[in-house]
Amino acid sequence: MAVYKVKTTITGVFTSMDLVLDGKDIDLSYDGDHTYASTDLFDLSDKLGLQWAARGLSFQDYTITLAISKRNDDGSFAKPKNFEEDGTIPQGQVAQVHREISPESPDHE
Amino acid sequence: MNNFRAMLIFAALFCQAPFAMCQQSLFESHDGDTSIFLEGTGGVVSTNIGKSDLRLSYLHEIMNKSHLYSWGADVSGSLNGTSSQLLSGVTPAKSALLRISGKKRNIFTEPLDASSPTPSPNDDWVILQVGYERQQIKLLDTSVSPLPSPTSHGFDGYQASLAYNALVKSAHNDFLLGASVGVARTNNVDDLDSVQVTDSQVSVTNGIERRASEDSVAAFVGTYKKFIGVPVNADAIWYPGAFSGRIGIDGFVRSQVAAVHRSAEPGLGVFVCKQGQPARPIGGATVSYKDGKGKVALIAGWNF
Repeated sequence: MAVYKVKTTITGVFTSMDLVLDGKDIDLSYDGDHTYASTDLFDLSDKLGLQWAARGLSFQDYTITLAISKRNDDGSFAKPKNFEEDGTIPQGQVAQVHREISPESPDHE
Repeated sequence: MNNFRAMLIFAALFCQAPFAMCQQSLFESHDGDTSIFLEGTGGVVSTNIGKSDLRLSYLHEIMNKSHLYSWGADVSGSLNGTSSQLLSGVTPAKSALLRISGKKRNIFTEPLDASSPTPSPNDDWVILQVGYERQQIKLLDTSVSPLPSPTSHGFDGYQASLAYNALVKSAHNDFLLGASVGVARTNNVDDLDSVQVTDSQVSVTNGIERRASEDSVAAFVGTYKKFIGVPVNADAIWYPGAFSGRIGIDGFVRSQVAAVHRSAEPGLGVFVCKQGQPARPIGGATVSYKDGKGKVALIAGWNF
């Protein structure tokens, strides 16, 4: 088990959005720059589960970025490793992303 | 030395609409009205060329299936000086407007659940908005001769409105629907014509006239009225899938249903949006019809 700090930023214009990380509902707050963000701590033994869904106009671009930092023994956090995924809200559907992310090599998911 | 004043009116009457302006939404008609309030469009500076307005808005919102309430505020005001003159030449009404909005999502739709295998793409929300506006208006009485100088009038406007919005998606088309009803203390400056009045100071020395100075001021002409209005607005914005979210076509109605100032103004707007950002029009044009007169307005927005 290790503790990880996960800074989530999601850009785009949505009418509704829901994010679950490692089974936890995440409160994404609007930061005034077309971006929703949250920073959370997780105690992980393996992969970080990501479930995200958003409603909005079709063809709306979105980007999901998770900056994942492992907590060191002295309480500080290591340099973050990024998971990033972008896409477009599809016609007639919601946008959905379901991933299992390795916290040590998130860019390889 | 003799000084005398000559009043010249040039720049024939022009409707406020062609160069004549809102809120968290950029989908709006010539007078800034809209019934569409999109989330996530805070942090926008925009201007409606028609009314030479500048707007700053803020949105406080937490996105999650258990957080259904949020709020926002915006401040707007008429541009003065160089920017305004570049756009319209004159600004007969200076104004500042503060609006505060509260929102609740999912009125008739289910909150979005990321773990659901087949969530519905349709969404809806309601907005309650209250606002205060201070205007400084210049009026010119054309019924007396010689023409007097324009007089300044202050106006305090109040407004409260409730809007319902829905996003309805089909396989190849998106529709943004909106309807709002409100109560407002307002005036009829949007219906008045504006003129530019030039005040020349001429001096005569030894029988030779010399122009000493010249000032221009914009003013409204017509019968100025203040009244309690009941605005009812509706919008239906259609995004044809063939344009990949780049074009939104807005059929709208702006109306006043109060008995003393009853009116209806149907119109059609076309908005061009950034690629990949269909909720962010970069510009548009609206055509509307009221009291036998057509109005055309250009609207531009810049995001930062």
